[in-house]
Amino acid sequence: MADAKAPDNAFTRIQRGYEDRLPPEIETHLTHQVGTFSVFSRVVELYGPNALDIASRFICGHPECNGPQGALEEDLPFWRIRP
Amino acid sequence: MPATAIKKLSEYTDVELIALYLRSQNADYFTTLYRRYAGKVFAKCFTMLADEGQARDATQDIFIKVLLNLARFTELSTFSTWVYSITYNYCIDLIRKKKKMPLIFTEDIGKVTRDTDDMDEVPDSVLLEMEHNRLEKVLEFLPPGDKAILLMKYIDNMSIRDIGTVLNKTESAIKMQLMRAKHKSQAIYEDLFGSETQE
Repeated sequence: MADAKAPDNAFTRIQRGYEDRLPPEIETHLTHQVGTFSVFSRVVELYGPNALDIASRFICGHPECNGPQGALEEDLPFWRIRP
Repeated sequence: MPATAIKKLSEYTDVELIALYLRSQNADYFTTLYRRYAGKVFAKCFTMLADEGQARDATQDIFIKVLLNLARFTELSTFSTWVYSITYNYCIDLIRKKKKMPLIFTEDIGKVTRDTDDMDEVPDSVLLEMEHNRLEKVLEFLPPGDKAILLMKYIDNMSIRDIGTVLNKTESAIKMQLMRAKHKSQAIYEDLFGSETQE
């Protein structure tokens, strides 16, 4: 723990006087910001890799397929299969 | 959060709290660190900036900086030293920007013209036993860099080497600066209150 053995002198007396004037609303603001930061970092952690993967597939295509391909014949309705 | 949980959190060391926060991103761990140091950081900002509103904003900004850089904290120094170094540097930068004051130490301003070799050492007791209302006045007139050095030495009990690390100066430069800051403080005291015996 910090300052467990803080010396007692004119400087520390001034500091103690100021410490008591710490506005409590700072903690509220900060807690909100820490909460937002935590949520944001979790979102990035969860969805970041997937989002990057989707973006890379969108730009470069699926890694297992070599460029655009037509649909397989069995996926097509019978009336679209060439005689 | 239940009171028992808060009590338990307060028993963790700083390093444990940091590790727990980084692992879980649970805001309670950071809030515990905040509660431990906010008062001291605010007091330092208040002394350095001499303005309650600015000190409040600075405290908030400093803790955001601490939060964003928490993963970079290495245990080369204690957490308190790390937080205080962010605090002093933040305040010094703020004063530089606001007052457009690029140089902030006594020797930079050039008000001390005497060679330091001619200076007698001002005993620590002169400052430490000063009436605190008077010391507060004296600090108002000191350049921010000198003020920071005195606070680090007499409040945070930091070594000359640590002060040098925080302010990015050599140990000999800090020793010289400390001596000049004490002389400057004594001179300001005499200007404000005469050379009457200090209580």
